[in-house]
Amino acid sequence: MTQRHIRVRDYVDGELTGQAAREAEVHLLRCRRCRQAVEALQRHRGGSAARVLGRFVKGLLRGELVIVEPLLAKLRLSIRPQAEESSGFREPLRVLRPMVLSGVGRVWRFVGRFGLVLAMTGGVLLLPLPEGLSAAGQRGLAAFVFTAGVLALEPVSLPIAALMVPVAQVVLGIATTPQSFETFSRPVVFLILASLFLAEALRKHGLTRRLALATIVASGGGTGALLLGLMSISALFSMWVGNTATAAMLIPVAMTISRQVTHKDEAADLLALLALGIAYSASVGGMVTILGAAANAVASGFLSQLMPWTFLDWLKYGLPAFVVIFPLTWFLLYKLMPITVVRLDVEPARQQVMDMGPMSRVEGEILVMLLVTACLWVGGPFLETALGLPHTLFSAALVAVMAVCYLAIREIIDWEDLKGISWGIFLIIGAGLSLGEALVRTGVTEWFALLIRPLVTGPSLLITLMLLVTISALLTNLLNNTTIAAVFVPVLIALARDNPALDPVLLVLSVTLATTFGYSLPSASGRMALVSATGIVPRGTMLRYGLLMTLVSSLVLAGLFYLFARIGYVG
Amino acid sequence: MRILVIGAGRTGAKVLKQLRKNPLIEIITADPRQEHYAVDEGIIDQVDIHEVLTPLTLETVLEQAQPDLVLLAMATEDMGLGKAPGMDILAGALKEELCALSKVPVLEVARVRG
Repeated sequence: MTQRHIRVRDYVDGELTGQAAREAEVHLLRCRRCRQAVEALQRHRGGSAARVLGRFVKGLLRGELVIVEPLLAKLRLSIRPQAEESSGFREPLRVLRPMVLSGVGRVWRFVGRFGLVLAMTGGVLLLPLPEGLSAAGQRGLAAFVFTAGVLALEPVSLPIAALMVPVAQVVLGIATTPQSFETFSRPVVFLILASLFLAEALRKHGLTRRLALATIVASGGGTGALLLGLMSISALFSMWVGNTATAAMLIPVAMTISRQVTHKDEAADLLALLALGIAYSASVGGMVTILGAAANAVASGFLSQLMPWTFLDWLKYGLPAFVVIFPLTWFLLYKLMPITVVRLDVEPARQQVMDMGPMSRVEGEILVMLLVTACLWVGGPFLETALGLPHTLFSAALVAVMAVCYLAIREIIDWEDLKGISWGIFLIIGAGLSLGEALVRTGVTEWFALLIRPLVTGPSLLITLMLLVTISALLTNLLNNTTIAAVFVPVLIALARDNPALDPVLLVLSVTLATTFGYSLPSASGRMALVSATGIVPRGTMLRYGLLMTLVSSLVLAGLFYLFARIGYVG
Repeated sequence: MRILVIGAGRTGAKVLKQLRKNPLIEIITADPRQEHYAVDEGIIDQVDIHEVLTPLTLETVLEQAQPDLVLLAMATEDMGLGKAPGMDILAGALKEELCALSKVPVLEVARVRG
């Protein structure tokens, strides 16, 4: 295949005009080589501020051609003649934008999302000093706006955005470098990291798939039982290992089940139901333990500064919440989502299990190791005392790290396997904790607590809990869970400190667990992003069912914690 | 021998180059994307099957191609699954699922980086 490539330098320098420029743009759509060359040259040129400014000003002075064909290709309603459809390449549709709009677009691209974050941060600093807040507090508030901005708008990828948080704190003068980085080495960070390593061991050796298929066989093929089985496996693993990783491992199994349905639309509906079930239950399973979600880890980090706070302490509240919310989630999802398939043949799944052969020694060893680890997480502190072992030897983080070491010594996983995990979570949790500490240090949490005190102390406890839990659950669709925990938890602790009628555990746990219910948007969690990106669940479906599930789950959770308070289970 | 190569990106292009050395091998290509590196490079004229390969589409693709062997030569981002955290894990699990379900041998070709 031969092509006449464009003159990259002329194109980048804006020397091509009229027909030549249009031909070059058409060619760029087809030719990867030229696109890469253009991008490389633009990157190379990008270093000079004068050139960037020059291009920007030049852009303001001329109209801009916008190629919208890739977008049109995705629109179902776009009508194209048959002949054009079959001809392969289509001439891009072009729109001449008015010069001013083009300029505005260029301003936006020039400033970018990071510019917006900086502008918001600067805006907070320039505001008159709010009443009750010190000058350091105002800078702390600016750090909060910066952190929420970079984590919500993501001008760069999330882990890099998290790295900007300590930088901002030092620049704003609210922390020293050691202070801003100290939280990155908290045990809870390593606990989450180790749980990701354990998930990798499960993935590598196919244990999740085996158990999922065995559950399908055991369900007998009824769609309700099948959904419950898959959701149970998803929740069970999410309690101990990364919940997005668990969902990612199980969604292909759901695809395999759905392929049995011959009617395309019915298969798609079944797949959507199973995928949503897997995603929801991966989130709900994460409520049970400290390592179930990054937000749990952040909340535990703060609570452990306040009181002795162990793995078992979290379990004491997380497990009952799960026991109530999980069946409710299954029931609502199954009753609300319409599917026509009532029963599936489980024979293909049985055949798959048989093809996998008996459980290997390694799979068995992983399973036993996970059970031992879970037992140590729960009973470790008692064992330490009973056996006179060194203090914190069986702390949750150290047990997790020891489990990973064991797997490595047994050559079940190695360093190469661990290179592919989401190391970014390490930075995100560290940044969340760092922000929370800074807000406490500068008095911002106290100020926030004063602001929302009427909301918390005015109405009855039940209404207060319902408000806090629902706000947290709805916010989690837009903001990172870790950020919500980092901001809310210190404020709630401050509120509880000033009001003896409120218990910090009651407020912190209910609000943090509510961050689980981000079901409505792809931005809510990694699980929802997965089912949305793969196209399994349409956005409208996700929003419709997600909002309903979020609201019902929030109200039930608030009711449960109210009950805990009434019977004296909390505090 | 008919070989179905899944992926006409950089990895697929390398595989196709090697397979073309043996004229007795009949090659069929499948790739869900609009643009194909192997076509741009002139290694193949066109992609035969435009379809995202999942357990749901596997049977149709195999019926169309009737291969003796399937080579999975796609990086995660080229699989047409979109971008999201955890997509690498999902793509890996999907490949394992395809290997387990397929009635003809399926081999995964290691990704070429860069």
